[in-house]
This record gives sequence, C-alpha cells and structure tokens, in this order.
Amino acid sequence: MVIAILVMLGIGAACGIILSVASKVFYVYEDPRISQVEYFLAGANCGGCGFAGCGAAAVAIVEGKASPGICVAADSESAINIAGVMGVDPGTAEPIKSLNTCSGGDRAVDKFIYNGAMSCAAMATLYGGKRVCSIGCMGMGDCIKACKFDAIHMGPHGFPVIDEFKCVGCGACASVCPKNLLSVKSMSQRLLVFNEEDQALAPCQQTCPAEIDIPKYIHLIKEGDYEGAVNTIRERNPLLLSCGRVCPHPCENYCRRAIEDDEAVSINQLKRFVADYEMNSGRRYPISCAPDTDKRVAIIGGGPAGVSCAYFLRRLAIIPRFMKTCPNWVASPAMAFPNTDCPTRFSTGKSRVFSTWGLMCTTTPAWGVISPFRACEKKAMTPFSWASVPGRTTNWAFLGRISRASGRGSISCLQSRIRRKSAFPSANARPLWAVGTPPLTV
Amino acid sequence: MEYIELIVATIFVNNILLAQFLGNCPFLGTSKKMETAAGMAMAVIFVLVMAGVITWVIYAWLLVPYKLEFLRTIAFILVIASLVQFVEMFLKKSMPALYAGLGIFLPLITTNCAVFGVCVLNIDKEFGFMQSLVASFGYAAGFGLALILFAGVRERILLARVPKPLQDTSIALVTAGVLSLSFYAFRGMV
Repeated sequence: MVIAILVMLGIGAACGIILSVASKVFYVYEDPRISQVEYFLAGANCGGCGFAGCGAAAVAIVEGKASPGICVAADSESAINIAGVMGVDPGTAEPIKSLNTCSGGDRAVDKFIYNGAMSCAAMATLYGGKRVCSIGCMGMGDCIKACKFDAIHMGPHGFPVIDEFKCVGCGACASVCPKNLLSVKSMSQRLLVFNEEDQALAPCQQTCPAEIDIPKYIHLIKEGDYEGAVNTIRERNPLLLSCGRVCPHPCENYCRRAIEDDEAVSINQLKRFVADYEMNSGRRYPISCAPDTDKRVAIIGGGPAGVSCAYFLRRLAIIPRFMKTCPNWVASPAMAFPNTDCPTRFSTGKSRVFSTWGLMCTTTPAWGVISPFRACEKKAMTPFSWASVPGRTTNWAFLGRISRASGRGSISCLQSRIRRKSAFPSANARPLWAVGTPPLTV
Repeated sequence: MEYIELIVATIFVNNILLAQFLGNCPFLGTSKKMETAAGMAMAVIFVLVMAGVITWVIYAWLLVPYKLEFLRTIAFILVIASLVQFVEMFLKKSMPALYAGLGIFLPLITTNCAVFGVCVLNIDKEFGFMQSLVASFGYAAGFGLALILFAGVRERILLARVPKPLQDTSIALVTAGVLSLSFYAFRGMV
C-alpha cells in the first residue's frame, strides 16, 4: 500500500517536474493580447465568425485580420472590450437579423391535399409544395424547428413570423428553407441594396423607385396593422406623407389586378392613408436604428433628398446636422407642394420626429452665403452663377410665395407659372428651382 | 521475420480502428478532410510509439518489481497525459509548422482510447521491449491507414447525393461498417 502510493507519487512528481522544466525550456513567446481577446469572446466555438474557433478568431483579431466585432454570439459590450485590448475603434457591431420576405401564407390556395411528412423539405419534393404559389412559403415550419432561440413562430396566416428581439442571426432558419425565403442580414445590408431585374418580386415592388415592399404593406393595411404598414414603407422611404400625395405611382401601372380585367390597386392612396393615420394618431411609430456611433455629418439643405439622406444616415447611427435656409422643412407637403388639402401641421409633426431622433438643425441665411458655396465662387469654380441672375429667387421662397397666395395655392397654379416661365429670369437660363433639390422627387 | 509478421498483424489483421474498434471518436471526428486526417495520423504515430515504449518501461521496470500491476490503468493514463503535454510543448518550440498542422488533435490524443488500448495490449500479449516498439508503430500505422482511407471515402461521399436523414455522421458510420467488413478479409493471414 505504502509502496503503491509512493510509486504513484513518484510517477506524478517525475511527470510534473519534467513538464515544468519543459515549459521553461520550450517556452515560446505568445502575444498576451491573444488570451485577453479570447477571454472576451463568447467561447462557444460556434464558428459563426468564419474562423475555426474562438482561439483562431482571437489570433486573427490580434493580427489585425479581423475586426473586434466579428463575434456573432457575444454582445456589443464584448466588441468594445476587445477594441479596448487592441486599442482600436470598436466600429459598429451591427446585429444581423433574419427576415421572412414572404407574407403569402394561407392566401395562396392549395393545389392538392397533402398527407406526407410535416416538413417543408419533404413537401417541396412533391410538386414544389401544396400551395399554388410555387415561390412562396409552404408553412410547414422547418425554420421554426431549426431555430434554437425560440425566435420564430408560426403566425396566424400560415407563414412564420420572426421575433427580432430573440433572433441572434445565426442563419439556421435560412439554411433549412427550401424556397430560400429567409435572409439573415444587418440593417445596413438591407438598406443599402437595390432591387435587381432577376429578382422574383411583385411587379409593383419591382417598379417602385423607392423599392418599397408594396405587397407587404397592403397586406398589413388589410390586417389593420397600420403601424406595421407605416414601418414597411418607412423602411425604404421616409417621406410617406409627401409621397402619398405626389408620387406618380408607376407601381399602379404594373399592378397585376389591372391586367386581370380589373382596376389597379390604389397603392398610393393606401400609402397616403396610413401616412395620414400616423400623423393624426398624434404619435410617431418608432423605427429601429443601428447602435449609436459618434460619427456626425452635415447636410446642406432640408429638401426631400436632404431629409432622406438624414433619415438613412440616422438609421445607420450617424447623427446628421442640417444646414438649411428655410425654417420649415421643405420636404413637407405644405411647403413644397402648395396643395390646398395638405395638412399644415405636417411640418411641425415632421420636426418633432426629427427632434426626437436627436437631429440638429442650423438655419443659415441663404444658399449664396453658405461658406462652401462662397468659397466656390471665390475660386471661380461657381457651379451655377445664379447670384448674378436678375430676378433670382430661391426654391423655398418661390414655393412659399405660391403656397401663401390665397386661392391659388395648388399644384396646377405652380405648373401654370412654370409653363409661363414667369419664375425664370430668361428663356435659356437654368430653371432656378432645379438648383439644389428637385422638390417633386425623393 | 517475426517483426514483419507483427507489423502486418497490427496494421491489417488486428487493425486498431477497424478490427478492434478502439479510438473511433477521432476516426469519425477528424476524417472529414484528408488534410486533417493525415495530420491526425502523424500525431497518433508520433505519440503512440512514444507512449507504447514508455508505458512498457514503466510497467516492466517499476510496476512489476513492486507487484503493483493493479495500478496499470491509472499509471498509464498519467504517463500518456503528461507525454502528450510534453510533446505539444516540444513541437511548439522546435517544429512550429508541424504543431500548427496538428492543431487541436495533439491535445485530443490524451483522451484517445486507441493509445491507451495499445499500451494495455502490449502488456497483455506479454511483448518484449522491441516487440512493444514495433507493435506500437504497427498499430499507429494501422490507425493512420484506416483514417486516411476513410477520409478519402468521406470526401467522395460529399459529392454524392445522400438522403437527408443519412447525411454526415449517419452515412459515416455506415461507411465505417463497410470498411470494417472489408478489413475482415485479412483474418487468418497471420
């Protein structure tokens, strides 16, 4: 017994001594930051970052091959901690979320009665699913089973609904969907994208210059979910009140219902309706923004382009500051589109939205004295020498004058004036209201 | 001649993976890519030869004289674990390229039952020192052979259309079974 203990102690001690000596003899210098960085990573070894594991990711971060925010499983705090270890800017660790683009569900009728295995994968092998829509969701919920975070549930209308707060963006749902309907992307990836010709989109959505998901918001209006509809429109177009009034709605020209011996859906009127609904409800529906950065940008001009620019930059967490001449928002219909039925309180509403977002506004005297433009003039780089044109006016002054003109405040009045060229100093001069931002487009 | 016979017996007839079914965890885990399979095979050969020899020495020169054969298991595990740690440190210093190539598999060998199994088999079959050395090498080479063969098969399976329920580990287990059957053809050779 004593001998057994002594022998085991001896073997253990010998091994221990050899190992401790070896650790000194075979010591290899390793960057101490690697272990510090690895400490802040999630430690799940999930491979979501694209590296073999947390250790490999830590090495890549220390070597500068990866950004501090690559860990998909850890929260944004870990990215800040890692950036602190590395002494770099943490950047914006933008969360990626899953999105189901199909809201067809039970609206598509069934081709046949399906009695097979209750999974999308099995159903897709039988004539591409039971629903007549061959590209849409089959509603068997493979994505729901695939989700390890309880973030997807079957909605009331036969298609899955994603809980954005629970979704971690692991992509498990997207990989099991046989119709490739789900996509896992960050907000900027979704915002900074344009429809492509070969995408199988509804004709209205494909035609819309703002690429609004029209089928989705019409469906939401039908459901009575006006907030959802407003947010769907706002995802691509922040000026829904204005566009609801002035958009030439090319979408309606391509509406499938117009082809099928019926009239086109009044898409634009529906947009106007939900926009007015939001305005009259007295509150502004919140829309998600990326985590705050300390980046700032100055926007010259508060027209539709400037306002849109500010909106999308704000959503990407870059705080815009306006420099504009007009105390009102030119993007407001009351100002830009002197139509009698335009709600005048719109502009104040808009201002409130922007002020709640922390947007700053500096009212500058006039275009001509804004320093960058003056600098241009001094260097004979004048982009347009309108300051010397006799009878010059600015677009907001011009539009404001029309809107204030009682009884004549209408689009037709504006158009007739343009036709008579009364607003232009001479026939071959550049139309003044085209300087800066064209007011009729977004 | 005796050693050639021993090598053939350990590599083919009594293949540690496909005839004795020891060390199946790395067999399934590291056979997805030929590159990692080759790395694992090299690591196992390296560690197994050293472990076989050292455990034989410990058994014959330390445990047997003191009549402590019952301590075989715990003593062998202690030695194997320390040995793997030592080898890891040694490789990291002197052969960083090989160390990086072996990666995670080197520490994993600590818990590889093939290594411990071979050490125990050497004792059970009452091998001498040289026989233990040759047998350890043979078993390790057999492990490497089976692993590399299997990795080749699995790389081909990746290109095949496998029914979804059978994908990945399921089809790998079926393949391992077929491969094991084919190794039964060596039975009776030695």
